[in-house]
Amino acid sequence: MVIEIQNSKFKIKNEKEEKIEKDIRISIRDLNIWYANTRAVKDVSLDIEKNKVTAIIGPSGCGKSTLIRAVNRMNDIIPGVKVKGEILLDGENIYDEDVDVVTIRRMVGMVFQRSNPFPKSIFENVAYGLKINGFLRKKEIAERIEQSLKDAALWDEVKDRLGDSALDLSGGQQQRLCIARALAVEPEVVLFDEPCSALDPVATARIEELIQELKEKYTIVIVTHNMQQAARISDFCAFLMLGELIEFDKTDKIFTTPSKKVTEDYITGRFG
Amino acid sequence: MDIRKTKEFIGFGVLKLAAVIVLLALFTILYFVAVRGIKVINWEFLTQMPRSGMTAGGILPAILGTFYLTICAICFALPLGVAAAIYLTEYAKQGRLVRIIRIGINNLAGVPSVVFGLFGLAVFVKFCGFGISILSGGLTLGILILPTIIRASEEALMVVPRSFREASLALGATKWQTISKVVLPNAVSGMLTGSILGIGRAAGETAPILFTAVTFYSVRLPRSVFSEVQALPYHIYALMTEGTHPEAQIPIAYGAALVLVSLVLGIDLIAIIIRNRFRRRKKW
Ligand SMILES: Nc1ncnc2c1ncn2[C@@H]1O[C@H](COP(=O)(O)OP(=O)(O)OP(=O)(O)O)[C@@H](O)[C@H]1O
Ligand SMILES: [Mg+2]
Repeated sequence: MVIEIQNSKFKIKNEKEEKIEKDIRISIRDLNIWYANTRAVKDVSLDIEKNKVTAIIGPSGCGKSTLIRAVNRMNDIIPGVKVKGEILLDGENIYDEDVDVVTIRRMVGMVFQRSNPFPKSIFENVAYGLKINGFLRKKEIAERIEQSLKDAALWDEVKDRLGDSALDLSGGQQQRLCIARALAVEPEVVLFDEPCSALDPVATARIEELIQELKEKYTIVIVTHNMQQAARISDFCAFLMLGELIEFDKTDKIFTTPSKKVTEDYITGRFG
Repeated sequence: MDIRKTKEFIGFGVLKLAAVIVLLALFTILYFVAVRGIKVINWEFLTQMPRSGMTAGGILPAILGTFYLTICAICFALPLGVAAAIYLTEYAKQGRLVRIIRIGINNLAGVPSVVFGLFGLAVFVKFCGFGISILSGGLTLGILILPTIIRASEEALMVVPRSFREASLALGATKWQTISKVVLPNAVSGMLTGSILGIGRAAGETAPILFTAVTFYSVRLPRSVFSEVQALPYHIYALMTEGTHPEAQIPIAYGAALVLVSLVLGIDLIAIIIRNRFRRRKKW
């Protein structure tokens, strides 16, 4: 189905309306976010499709992290942050008063810009999310850990040293460990905030490959500084500048025939 | 000659001199106490009751008294201080109220210890009716070290990186799970080190226990938390200021001082060991 649509321009037009109705996982509506008095996100509205990779690009400081962190309410823990607008997750506004933040975060996992393993063993790092979510049976935990480490393409490198400290891993391995940790609790949406910013090309390639595989099971949002990366791995792409959403469309479209001049300038590097 | 080099030489020289003076002062005190105290110290001195109106015998009741008072202070102040620190850093909204509480705590740390003694007398001894007792003295000492414990614990909590908390919360952990499973384990060494150093100081205080716990002489060892006790710091004070046989009392006072100093250094040593053990484990 996916391939069919991408191959036939004709079909895209016909099916576009219908698809948007069907597969929207997250719908951001008129979102505004303030840090104290500075508005970091301005009237952003965009829809994130299920089992697709949506990339958020834009110059440094334009509000990418702020926007993506809003999707699992990570901004809540920063003092002085104010949010206005809605983010609908399966039709339900996650900023509603009676919504349980813990449940939201359980469904929407996150991998952070800088890898942040706990100062525990590799095993304990991945087991943590399972334990706090009530998985108690040893066997089940072990199985899930193996699976998520495999999903994160780390299993082969660490299977003989699960008891070692996670801090002894290399930077790239630590980032993959954080990915495994996020996947272990089986969220439905995974948010990546510049997951490759500290990685070498080899590790980056592995993570890109991984994201491609992950979208079979998960809905993915990724912030990236790297144009090529956005072009390679994403299906949809949002271009942000100074907190405003300049353009949001299929990645193909953004990278071949963007509708705004600034987008083109930014993508081609003629900018900033 | 190069001016900059000369300046550097003088600068380093001054700093080095300061360090040497500090060390010298410390060692002089230790040496002074040790030389005079060591003469009377033997097994009997540590394990026997005083005899002949304090002019002979051992100081066992004072050692035990200080020990009990310290334990009582720890049992009271450590949980309370740690809990308060957790609340202040993790839960309380960082606004005016918290700022005022912090200022209050810092001022508490600056209150002279004799004032704590009076407070203990009024509140624990009289108002609560605990009388002159281990309990009253321990609680008073506990309040004395509370600010130290709270501050050490707050600092230990605040150096736990925010990224750990974020990682935990993003996995769907509740705030309490995050604090108890991620933040506290990474803060516990700092909390303990700071707190124990504070406790070491409290063990040597005289003024807070003066009106709340101590007695110059008791015929038997304390039997419950409501007994009055002898304690090392006060014992030294009493030996030097009361009684009629200074030539017999003064050596005992130095012996008690040596024991007290060793006790405090021992407590500090424990703090250092704990810190080193944890430090080897964590690398962030
Ligand atoms: N904790 C904070 N307190 C105050 N202002 C903040 C905070 N975090 C971010 N900002 C501001 O909000 C704006 C958007 O920041 P954000 O981190 O979302 O940018 P970004 O697009 O992720 O940048 P980068 O690509 O450098 O990571 C910036 O102007 C930044 O200065
Ligand atoms: Mg960012």
